Amino acid sequence: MNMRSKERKIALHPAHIEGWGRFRSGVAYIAHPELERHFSEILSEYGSEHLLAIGDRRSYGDACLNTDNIAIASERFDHAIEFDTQNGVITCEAGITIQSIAETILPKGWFLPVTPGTKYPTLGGCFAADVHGKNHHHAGSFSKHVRWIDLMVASGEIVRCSADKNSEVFKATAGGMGLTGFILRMSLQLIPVESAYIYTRHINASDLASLMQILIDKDNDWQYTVAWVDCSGAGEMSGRGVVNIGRHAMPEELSIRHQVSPYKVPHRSTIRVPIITPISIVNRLSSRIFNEIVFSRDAMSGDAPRVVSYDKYFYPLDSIRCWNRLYGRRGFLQYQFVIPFEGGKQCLQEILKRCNRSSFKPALAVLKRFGEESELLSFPKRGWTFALDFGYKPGLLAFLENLDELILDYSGRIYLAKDARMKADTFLKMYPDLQEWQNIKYKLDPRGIFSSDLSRRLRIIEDQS
Amino acid sequence: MTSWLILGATSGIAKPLVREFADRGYRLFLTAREESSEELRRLAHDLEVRYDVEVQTGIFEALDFPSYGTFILEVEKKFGMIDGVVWMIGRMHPQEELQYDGEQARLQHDTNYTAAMSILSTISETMEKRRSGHIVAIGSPAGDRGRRSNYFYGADKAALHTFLEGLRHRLSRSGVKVLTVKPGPTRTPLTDGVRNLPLVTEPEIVAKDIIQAIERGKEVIYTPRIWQLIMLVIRHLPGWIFKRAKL
Repeated sequence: MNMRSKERKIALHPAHIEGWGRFRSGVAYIAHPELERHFSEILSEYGSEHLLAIGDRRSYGDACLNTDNIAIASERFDHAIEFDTQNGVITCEAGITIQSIAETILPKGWFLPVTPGTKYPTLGGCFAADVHGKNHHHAGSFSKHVRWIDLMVASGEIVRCSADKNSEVFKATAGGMGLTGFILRMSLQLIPVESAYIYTRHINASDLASLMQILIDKDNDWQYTVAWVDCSGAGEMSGRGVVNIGRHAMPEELSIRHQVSPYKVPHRSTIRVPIITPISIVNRLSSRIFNEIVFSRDAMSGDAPRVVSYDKYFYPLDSIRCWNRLYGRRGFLQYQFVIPFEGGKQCLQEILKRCNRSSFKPALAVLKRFGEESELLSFPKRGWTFALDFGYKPGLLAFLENLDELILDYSGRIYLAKDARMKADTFLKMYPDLQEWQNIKYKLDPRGIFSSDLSRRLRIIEDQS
Repeated sequence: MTSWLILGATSGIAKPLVREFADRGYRLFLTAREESSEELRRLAHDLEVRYDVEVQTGIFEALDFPSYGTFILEVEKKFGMIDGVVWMIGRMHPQEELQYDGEQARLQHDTNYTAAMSILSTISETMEKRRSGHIVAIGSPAGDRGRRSNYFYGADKAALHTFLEGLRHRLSRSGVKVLTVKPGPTRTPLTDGVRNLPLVTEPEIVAKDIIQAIERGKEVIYTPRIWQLIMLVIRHLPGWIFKRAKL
């Protein structure tokens, strides 16, 4: 065991790494640095190889893969450094998870300014993918709330950067998918909350047009909005859905039992999918049933407001560990894109129509409005974002490629943290700032050592060899 | 307030365990070897930031037996009385090397067994007099039966098991609890790169099981529980089958 550690200070071990969709995977040589100097040692020992820092591997496609190359897992670099409880600023190492942050800051009355739909990603991963949450229309993406990061660049130098200082490096790293260097530490501005609970309501919509209108109407007044769209129904049922709106609850809105300690949430038990099912059990029938249940459940509860814990509200799927295994051996793909508001409705209707006519039915579809525009490789721009989960089956890739054309026609773009299959020239058309990003990248990393399967597939980094 | 001494606090299982302790508001005294003092300080700082608890640190070298006296004095002076102690120090050398390197084998045994016996025995004295306390030590299912692939380590853990059993027997009259924890293969720096570990578990799960066992006053636990059943079978395998099995 650890035989290589005798020759080298940092040991590497082959490990099979999967994207969350389990459609892409590969073997990489993995290192588990625990201290800052281990990252420097990795650069000095393996600086001529291709390196990629990875977090909890929650990106769906190949952004977390570095097949046949070196992956640097940040999970043991997960310490909290400072928590200013007066001003709500927390400083941590990049391997710390959203869950750990939430559990640390809530008792003091603070919450994450932006959170993705799962609590397991690391802060480093959140910054690298510049994730968004149900409050994007108000708060923008994750990086907007990061005061500064420490980035270790290819030379081994640590660059502290922020929106004001070394801002080029900061911007290129936000949404830069880990390709600018190792994100070591960051300082995050939190938001004050009155409780650990969310005041939430469901609103049913019978078709896509009314669903979109509800989102437009509610976005002004509600901090969190998101819509679930039923794509399993045929004809007029297609596009019906449920809009969910929410905001942080005031202590007096909690049940008497929870008012005693408004920042404490009951422990949530989780179950784990123990095995990869031999065939996908997420299929037309099961998702039809699932959608039917969700729709009728929400229809029955009507629009009566409810108060739920932040954990249940933001991270519903986290109660089933490894739910991605339910899609069977071949995994699934998530197709998430954003299109401008103008023409958005036609585009979405066209997509629903195409899904309906084809045999590719998304098991889950989520719609949301984005606010602020992001820069360089960061995904969000003003418009509608739509995320569709497809279990893999033959023909799906061609089907999605046709959708790419449609998205391009509407000047939309696809989210790199979800993508597993887009073509390089499609990517280039969708991200016109690539050249500008590359200029910064090559200043920081002239030899292009930071790379991933994603960066090679999409030619985000030009091949240097 | 409850005060715990953690021996070997930078081990892979210790990290989530001390977080569980801190989450309960326990005061902690963490130790590690000199060479890991940077990791130790950082871990202590992390606990203070996350859980707002008092965390002290100190250096404990398991193989430096003469230093034990001053170490215990240092703990008493800086930290006061301890309610519980957790032994998490372990060493696992590649078995093939131990087979010809007797000195390595002795160092491993002294770390895994002699040191544990010596320090825990000393600490148990004051607990016995006080008629309260908790002693927790990490054993291993490997100590349940000597297997060709891992019997040096297994023998260390078997000795530890028997020692703790006797200590428990002796202390049962004074109300001091002794817990032996036998974790199955766990994903820690110790097992990095070991491929095809059977039923490998996460250190967070082991930590939760340990804290639950402490709170329930258990004596011996296997974590995850399945190892209790597996070792029951392995212990009772007749020799002629056992010898043929690749274990």
